[in-house]
Amino acid sequence: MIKLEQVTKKYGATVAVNGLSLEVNEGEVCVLIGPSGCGKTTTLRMINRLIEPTSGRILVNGKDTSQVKPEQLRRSIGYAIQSVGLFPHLTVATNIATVPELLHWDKTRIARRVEELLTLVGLSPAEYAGKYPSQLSGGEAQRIGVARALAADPPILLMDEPFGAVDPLTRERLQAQFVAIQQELKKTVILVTHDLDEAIRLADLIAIMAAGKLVQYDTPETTLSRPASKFVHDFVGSDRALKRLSRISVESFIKSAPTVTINASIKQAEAAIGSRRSAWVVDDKGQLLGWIDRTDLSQVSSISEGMVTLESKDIALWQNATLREALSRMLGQGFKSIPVVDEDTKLIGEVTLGDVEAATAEAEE
Amino acid sequence: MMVRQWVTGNSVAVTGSCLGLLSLPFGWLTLKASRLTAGTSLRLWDAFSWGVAAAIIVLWLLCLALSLAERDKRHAITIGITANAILILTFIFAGPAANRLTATGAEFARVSLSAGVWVTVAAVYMLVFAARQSLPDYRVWQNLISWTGLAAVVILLFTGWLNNISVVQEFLGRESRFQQELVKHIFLFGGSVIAGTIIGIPLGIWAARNRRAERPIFYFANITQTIPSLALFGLLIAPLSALSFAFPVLREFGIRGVGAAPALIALIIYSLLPIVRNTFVGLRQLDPAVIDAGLGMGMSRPQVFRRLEVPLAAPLVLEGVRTASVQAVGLTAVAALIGAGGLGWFVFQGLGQAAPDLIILGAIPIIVLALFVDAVMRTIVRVSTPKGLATGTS
Amino acid sequence: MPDRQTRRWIILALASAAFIALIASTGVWEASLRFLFPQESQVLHPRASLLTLVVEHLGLVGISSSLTILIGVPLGIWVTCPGGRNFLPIVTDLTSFGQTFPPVAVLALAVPMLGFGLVPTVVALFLYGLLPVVRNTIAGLRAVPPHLLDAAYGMGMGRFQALFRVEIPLAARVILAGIRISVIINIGTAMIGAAIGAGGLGSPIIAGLVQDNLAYIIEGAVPAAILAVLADQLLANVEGSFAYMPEEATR
Repeated sequence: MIKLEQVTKKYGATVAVNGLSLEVNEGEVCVLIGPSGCGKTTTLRMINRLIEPTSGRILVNGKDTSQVKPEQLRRSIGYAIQSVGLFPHLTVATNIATVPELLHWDKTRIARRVEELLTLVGLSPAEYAGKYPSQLSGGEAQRIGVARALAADPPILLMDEPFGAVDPLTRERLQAQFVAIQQELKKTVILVTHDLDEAIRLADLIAIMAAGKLVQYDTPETTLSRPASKFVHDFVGSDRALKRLSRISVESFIKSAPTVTINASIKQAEAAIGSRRSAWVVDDKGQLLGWIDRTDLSQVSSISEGMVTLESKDIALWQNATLREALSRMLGQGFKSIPVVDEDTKLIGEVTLGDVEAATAEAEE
Repeated sequence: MMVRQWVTGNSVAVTGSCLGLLSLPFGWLTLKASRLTAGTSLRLWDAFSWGVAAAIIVLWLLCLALSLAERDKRHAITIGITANAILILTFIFAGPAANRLTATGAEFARVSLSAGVWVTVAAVYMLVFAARQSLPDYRVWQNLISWTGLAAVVILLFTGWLNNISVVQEFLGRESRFQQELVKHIFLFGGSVIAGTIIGIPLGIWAARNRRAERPIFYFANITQTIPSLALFGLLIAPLSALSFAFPVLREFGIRGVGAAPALIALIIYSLLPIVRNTFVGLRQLDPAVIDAGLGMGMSRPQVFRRLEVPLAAPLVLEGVRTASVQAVGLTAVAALIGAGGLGWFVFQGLGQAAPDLIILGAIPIIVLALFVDAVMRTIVRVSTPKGLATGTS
Repeated sequence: MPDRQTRRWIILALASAAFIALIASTGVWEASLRFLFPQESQVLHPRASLLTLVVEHLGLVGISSSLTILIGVPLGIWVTCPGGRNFLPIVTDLTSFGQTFPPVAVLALAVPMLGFGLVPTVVALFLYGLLPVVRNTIAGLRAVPPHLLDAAYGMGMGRFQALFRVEIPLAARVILAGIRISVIINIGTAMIGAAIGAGGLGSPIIAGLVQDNLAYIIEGAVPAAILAVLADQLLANVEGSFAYMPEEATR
């Protein structure tokens, strides 16, 4: 789908990118990573010809990009950047509609597409379409940026630290959402980041660059287990096993958890806990409220009296979270198991420390 | 303790009221035997009548009391209304007073407004401002308080009520000349600002795009802006008259040493700096990510210019045009000295003849024109600011 | 090698010396003006020598600008202090409203009120010059980041100490920019003061316009232009030596 052949970019005497060859297949996510100044952003910007290579060829769909008009090329490639670059004088809807408009889509089709995309990135079209960029939070702006890049349904997406400018919590959410969207849309994505965890989490293939050269191009698993050089070894660090947990979603480790509703009788609660030590307490809609210990049950008259309340957004995991986050929460809270909830904070199940340990051991091999 | 409370009452309104009371001992009207002689000044009670004077004093005292005690919206509204009433009363009674005095005086007697009236106007402004500040959520009241008095005075002027006030007499004697010079003034400043915009915007764009052009362009614009207007006019006279001597044909196109040609050239040069600077800043302040995103999504360079740079820089560019316009209104007045005409003609004629009313007849319309141009340009800037941009910084 | 700032001062000093030498040498002026305008019977304004005119002009601007600074800066400080805060809105309104007034109109209006001569000119220059000074003093003080004031108070400074050790030094550059604007406007407006009998470099220009004598006009215009540019550079240099705050967007 995208092929770089011996691409070099020189600025005067400095070589930003040096004889880089790289191939990304359709539907794959390739993450370019490396220390700052390694040429990763330059590489990305050469693909949509915002920067012209000094030598070498770049092929998209087998066609040499230098033979295509830059505007034409760029309209067929989605582009999202760290600083987002939303147009401040246009509404969210008009921002998203930019490329479809450049391509002269008709109005109803554009309107439909804008609505689709806002829903896709999890923002209500009714609420957000008419807003201006200055009225958005950092995370919202980043999501609009991604929606805008996807607007004309380009097969290829170029992303330059698309989740860079937000706080860590929002970044995790956005990454999880990206994984979900990518599973559905199967775009060919080239993403630049300096965050190794992000790379490991999102990439099908990681391209590690140093001083304008490609030093290793492999799956995250291989990169972590068999670093090609001392540089890569140092770059990925000694906590490789832990990093690998970022690749694994908690989804396949969710077990059904003992649960009682807040209005249940003490009898019912005892039955639910069985031989376990505690149970999660939910309200009648299934939303997580807290947990209750078996030993406390005998001393109280109702569940609500003995329940320990939890702030579900601090404790519970989202179902798209990774095992790494699960482990981090468990260690942080001193829990042996962590509840997992869906978007409406409804309890789905739990992940236990034992399972995480087993997965770690497996990844180690 | 008490003093603290007074100060927190409404100190601006208190100051305004005191200023209003202070206007009383000044002369309110001046009676002169002719337009050029010095006159005798008349106190409030001599100029109007004891009754009117008492009414005005009572109204000022009411304002003072209310501003000391100001607590709520009703107080503020009353202060605003009272201030307007004082202004309207002053002018309503000034008309007949002038009629009476000119009728009883010498043949060429003139009656002009003097310090007391001007101090009153300043005090009314302070009170109106203070009242407006206390009514932030009542737009209707704000506008009513701000404009009623002014509108009343304008109506009095146009209905002929004030025709015996000396400035108005001066105007009535020169009505057609006034219109002629006003039109000339508007053409001079308007034409130079339009020309300055046409030249300045491309220069600003060039400076923003080309680092090598930036320095010389700004060096030139800054230096010319520093040179006194009269000196620049003077410096242009010599070469232009030399040109018209060398090529007499040019004179047929109105290019002479003095007159409209050097005025227009100097005015255009002056209007360049604000326009060039604001165009430059308007383009340079753009978030590079916005341009990058535009190009990255497949906009061509002209599309980036039209769809992103123009709308985003427009408010600042127009702000520069506003500054240039207001400045040009004033500089055009100076241009009258080199024979370009315009409202400045009255000012300099008045200075030459030592006729105060003629000076005022030129100076006040120049100020009004500047304020009007400023208001119009502010509206244009506001309308042209895209909704998504936070309100402008001016 | 002296640094940039020193170099600028040296250049300015040399230029000023050259300027003084130039205006003092009447012979050079007479000869060159005679060469340029052979048709004029008289090429130098008879009322006063060029040097006198420059001194007059500088005196006019010096008096009015000193008054402006002495009153404008404290006024600006006062309205940003808690004691004068009530007057901040009206002063801000007046300064922006007043700056719309053309300086020549303000100067002209001084005549009906105060008559002809030096006094009305000085008063008008002083009043008009106040506007940019007050405005920039307010803007400069308000631009001082609140966390720096917090730090000052946190270290135990009193109100006045904070004002003189933190606020004014940090606002100095913006205030000086206002003074620079004010002085340059005053130099320009003082030229027109000649029309109401205040003397200065405007008088040969106005005499030249009245008597249709090009040489007089040039005699006034050239030194006035140079004087304004030199004064601007001088104030720019002073301003530049207070450059510890990033430049604010002030007009």
